[in-house]
Amino acid sequence: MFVLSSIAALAFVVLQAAPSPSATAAAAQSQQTGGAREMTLDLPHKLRKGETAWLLVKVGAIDHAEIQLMTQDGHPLGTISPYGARTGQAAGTYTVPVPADALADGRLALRMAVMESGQAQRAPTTDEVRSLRLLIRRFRKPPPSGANP
Amino acid sequence: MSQSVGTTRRHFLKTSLAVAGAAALPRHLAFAQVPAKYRRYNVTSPQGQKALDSYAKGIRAMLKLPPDHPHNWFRNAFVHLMDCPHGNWWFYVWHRGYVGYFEQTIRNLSGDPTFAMPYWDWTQLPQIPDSMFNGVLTPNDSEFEPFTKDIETFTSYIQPALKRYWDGLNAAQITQLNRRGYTSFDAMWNDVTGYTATPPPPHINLENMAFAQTPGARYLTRANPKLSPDVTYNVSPFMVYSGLLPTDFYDPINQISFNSSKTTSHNTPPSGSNVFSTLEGFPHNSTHNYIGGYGPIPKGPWGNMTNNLSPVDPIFFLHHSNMDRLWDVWTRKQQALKLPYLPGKEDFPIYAKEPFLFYVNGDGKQVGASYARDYISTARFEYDYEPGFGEALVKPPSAALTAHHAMTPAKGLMKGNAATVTLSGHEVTSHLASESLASLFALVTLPRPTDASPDRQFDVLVDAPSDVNEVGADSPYYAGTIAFFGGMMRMHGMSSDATFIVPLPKRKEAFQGLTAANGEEAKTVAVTIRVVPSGGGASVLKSATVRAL
Repeated sequence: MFVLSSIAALAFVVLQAAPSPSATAAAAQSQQTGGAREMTLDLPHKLRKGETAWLLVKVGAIDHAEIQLMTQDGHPLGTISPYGARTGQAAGTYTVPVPADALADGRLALRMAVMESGQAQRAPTTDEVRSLRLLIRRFRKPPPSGANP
Repeated sequence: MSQSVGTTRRHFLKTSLAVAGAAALPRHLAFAQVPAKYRRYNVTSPQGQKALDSYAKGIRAMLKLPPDHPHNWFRNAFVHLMDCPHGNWWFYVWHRGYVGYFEQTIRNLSGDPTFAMPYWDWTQLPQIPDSMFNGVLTPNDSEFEPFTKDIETFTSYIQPALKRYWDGLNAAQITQLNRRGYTSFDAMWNDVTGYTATPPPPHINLENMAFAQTPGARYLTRANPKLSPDVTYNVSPFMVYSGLLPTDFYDPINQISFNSSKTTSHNTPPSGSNVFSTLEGFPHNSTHNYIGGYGPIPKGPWGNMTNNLSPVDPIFFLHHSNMDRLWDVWTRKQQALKLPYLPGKEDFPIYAKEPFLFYVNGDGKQVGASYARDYISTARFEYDYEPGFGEALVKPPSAALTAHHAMTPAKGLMKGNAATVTLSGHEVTSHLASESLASLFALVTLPRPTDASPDRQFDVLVDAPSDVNEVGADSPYYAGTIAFFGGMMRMHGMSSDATFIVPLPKRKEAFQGLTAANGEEAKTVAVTIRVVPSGGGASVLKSATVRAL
């Protein structure tokens, strides 16, 4: 397989599927800091040349709120804004590319906040952000002879 | 995991068909070898602006058609509400069919036989194009008012005709609607009004109301056309480039795919198990939502673009033209790399045979049963795209791009609240020449506004003359806008500064030192970066660093 991805970190709730032992060992410590939740997620190793980091964020029912993702020093990572979701409907899992310079020493210092207009930002509950996975991917290179199936 | 078939692009046909083997192509794609008849232009180009004139004519014609006519403007939007896929792997292909038939309709009703839907490249222009505030190109226009003045007016106008249409649907269509949760006409209409019986007592949930009154049909205005900083990041070069990176059409194991999840039907609503691809989940979703005011406006009702009646807002089709363009870019990138660009052999039949049953063609006829496979190629509608952001991915890497990737971040020297960053002339030239990969970005840090701060929105200026303290989005010195939401300062423990990433302008005026006195490219170019309040004023920048993507 060309894939190097692996589960590197587990957020503040148990994943839907049973986590691997390595994922459990890497479980991140999270803390609520005022209007956000902060945690540090570990990559299995520092990014190597040609690798990219991705964060998979599994989101429950947030109705019409949004979830802002950033590093703890303020670099944006993306804002999850479910489209066309009905009230009570889980929003799904979002695929967030993580810039290499948002990582430090193979770690992502993540801050997540729920944003609803007219209200102060707040930390997401464990029902709202159900799990996080930080992955490394190396996308496959072209085959040497260029043969398509 | 994936496989390949033919496409419409001429340069691809010269190279890749020989590789894939023309004999292996499905029959329905044989005409893919015909050169594109129509070109979809960037809306900011002269051709794109001309297309908007025809688009407006077509919209007026559709508004005038009776609600029983399949080409009626609102009836056309209901096709989306009743059938659109989101959060699954039919997202791109279904919308290709929907936009393609709509394009035919505008061509016919505008009388412009050359019409092709322009695209809005929000990565290059993170604001609604100014022309899209003219006349019927905005749903706030008075010509919409006879229909969307209020929910009663809209109901009496469209509901009887829609009910007649519903009553004439065949069993296969009803089955698909049931999968969406539309088990009756009333169940569907509840998404228009926001009516819900749960929790009791029955009530209207404004957050679920797809209908939008004329004045609130679009949140963004000509005076306030910009996407928010959060959305601007979601459409940024980094995000879009990252969304184009995956090399699998669909990868069920590792989930980082070009497409969202495989589901049992395109009508399966998103749920907790759906994985949104980067491009659908971020640029697509948040642009939709912000245009309608989801975010800035608490609790609804929001404008059209926030929900599945979004095609009522004409910007919908420019937004989806751009999404479709990105699919085309990704496909051609895969072809250039000789990588597969469709689902794998086991998945492909499942993907290809999904029936789409609600389209209306350019002649106003129901298309009837057609299938996902019919819309895989742009050849179905005989168009291609004027190159836009991301196109550089299709081309082989050049030495310039390689050099750019190797660029060391350049930290600005601060003098007052302005940073002077020294870049190599070569890096700047590459930045100006390329459309995506080689883009230069500034990481700018500024203090978060306090509750007492009068300014919450700031513009990033690059190499603007020192007396220029206020610019429009069309200024050559304008790099982007940063805005703060009111609640941010209440966040305990948050740094007093915030850092944002902003692409540098693509205009030579923003790099005045690029040309040396002898007319040659300067070895180094010093550029000054400032961050000023959007209403004008002194710079508040604390630090800036420029780096390549």
